[in-house]
Amino acid sequence: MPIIIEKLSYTYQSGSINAFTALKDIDLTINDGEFVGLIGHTGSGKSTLIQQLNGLMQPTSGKVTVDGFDMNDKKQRAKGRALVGMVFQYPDYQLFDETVYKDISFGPRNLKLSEDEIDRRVKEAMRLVGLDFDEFAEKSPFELSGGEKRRTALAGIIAMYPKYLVLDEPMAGLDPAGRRAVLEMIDSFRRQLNCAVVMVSHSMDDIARSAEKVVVLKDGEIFKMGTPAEIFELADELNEMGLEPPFAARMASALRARGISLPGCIYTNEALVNALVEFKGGHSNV
Amino acid sequence: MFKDITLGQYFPVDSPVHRLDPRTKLILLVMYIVAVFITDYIWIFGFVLLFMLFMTYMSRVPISYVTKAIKPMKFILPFMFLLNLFMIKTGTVLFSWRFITVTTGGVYQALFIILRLIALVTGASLLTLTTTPVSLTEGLERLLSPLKIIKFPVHELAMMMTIALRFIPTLLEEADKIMKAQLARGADLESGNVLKRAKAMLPILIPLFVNSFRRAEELALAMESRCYHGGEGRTRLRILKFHWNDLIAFLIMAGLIAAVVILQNTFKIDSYLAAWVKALIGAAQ
Repeated sequence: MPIIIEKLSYTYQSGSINAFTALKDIDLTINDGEFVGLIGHTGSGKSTLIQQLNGLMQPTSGKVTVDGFDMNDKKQRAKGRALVGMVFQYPDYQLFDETVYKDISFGPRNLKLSEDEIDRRVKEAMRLVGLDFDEFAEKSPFELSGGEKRRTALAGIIAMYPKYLVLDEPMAGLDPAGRRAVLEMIDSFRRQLNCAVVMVSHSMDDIARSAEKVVVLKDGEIFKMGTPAEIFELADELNEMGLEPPFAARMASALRARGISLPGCIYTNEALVNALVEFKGGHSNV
Repeated sequence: MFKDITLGQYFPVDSPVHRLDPRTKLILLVMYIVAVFITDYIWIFGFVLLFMLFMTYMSRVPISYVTKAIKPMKFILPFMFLLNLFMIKTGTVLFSWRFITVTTGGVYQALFIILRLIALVTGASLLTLTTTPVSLTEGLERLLSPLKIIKFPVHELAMMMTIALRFIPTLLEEADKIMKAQLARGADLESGNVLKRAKAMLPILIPLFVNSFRRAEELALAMESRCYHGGEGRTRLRILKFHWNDLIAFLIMAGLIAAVVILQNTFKIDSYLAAWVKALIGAAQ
């Protein structure tokens, strides 16, 4: 069963003079196992939208159902929330316990699992995010490097075995190698746990690589929704909104402008290389 | 969750009260407190409260904002009232039941204490409503500067206050985010007894403290890299100056104190009022 968002609107401080409508009439479905990329300018309502997915914020009007649980209802909300794992932008907001092991086990423990099951899940989660158990389990989360903290924070959510994993800018502040590592990690546990992923990112390249569905938010409304190919076709419109299309898409459109005929829907580096090789009349080995 | 709390409650309008020098306003508050404390008779309080109303009118702050300051005292006020009502045993007995005795002196004293507290709190709140936190600390620094002679760290104190005020909204926002992050991990903050709930706050308090210490360190570095070395030889962007309107404000406040003193010594009609209260309660019984 999917997450269904119907006619959702959200207004901050509604009723006061400072009222600000962050989301307007959002209709969106997140299917089982789907990888959804959420892009939009700063202030477009991305963060507000993902917080509706697990009931941290309730819509001013409209409805969110997670696997049939109505998130407007206080009792059903807790059940729905347990299905949606949410990783915030900064790991510093969630790490608190004495050791990495204890911190990761916080979520599973709140799910009231048995000790054996908690232990098994913590080990599994640490393996999935690439933290060596012997090296890190007894370390304090505050001694870790930025990348390690992020892995720990991620593991803390993965250990809850969410059916839907929501990530708010999971790669912010990481170097390119770190970005790739996190993205690969997300891909790998998506396959292993068979969960859906909703990822907010400023980086179109990261979205282009993994997402199956891309949602573009603009001023609190869904500007466009579709496959990456459909979205990145609109390179000019995205540019106008201040969103930079993926490198490959920009490159392809620049080449087309210079009279090199390339096929449409190029938005990954691999596709670009293939198209260029074909243009030159050779064979790709990518 | 924390968005509803307003701490820096500055009300941004332009008025004669807003334009006063912060030092003037601080001294005026002290004078006002003196006026409240030398008032010995309940009816003169009517006079003091009338003055308060006048100041509020001059400041163009809606009266509801000023009275909001009384709201947090909704528990202490009735408590003080009852305590005085039952503990003071002077004057004539109005009412007696087992160990509870209410006297005219008790009624009088209870009303008196309540009025005094309300007068003090609304006065202080008018100061913070009409003065930005920054100019308030600036005024305080200048007022306390003579204490430098006895090596009292005036500048450091003012700087600490400024920084603390600056970071309150940041901390609230951060607490909100941390709370959400832990709620998303299934933290239960609302059920259980007091001990359990206090324990449930740990996952929120620890990141909050850790981040605050880190931020303090970063702030110290940022200040030092801009050559901050304390108050010695530091110049100011805005220099406080007294104007003629400050003088007028002082005169008005001095007038209030003089009026209170004179009224108290001239018309000692307070005993009439006490008799009146007694008659009223007697009639009610």
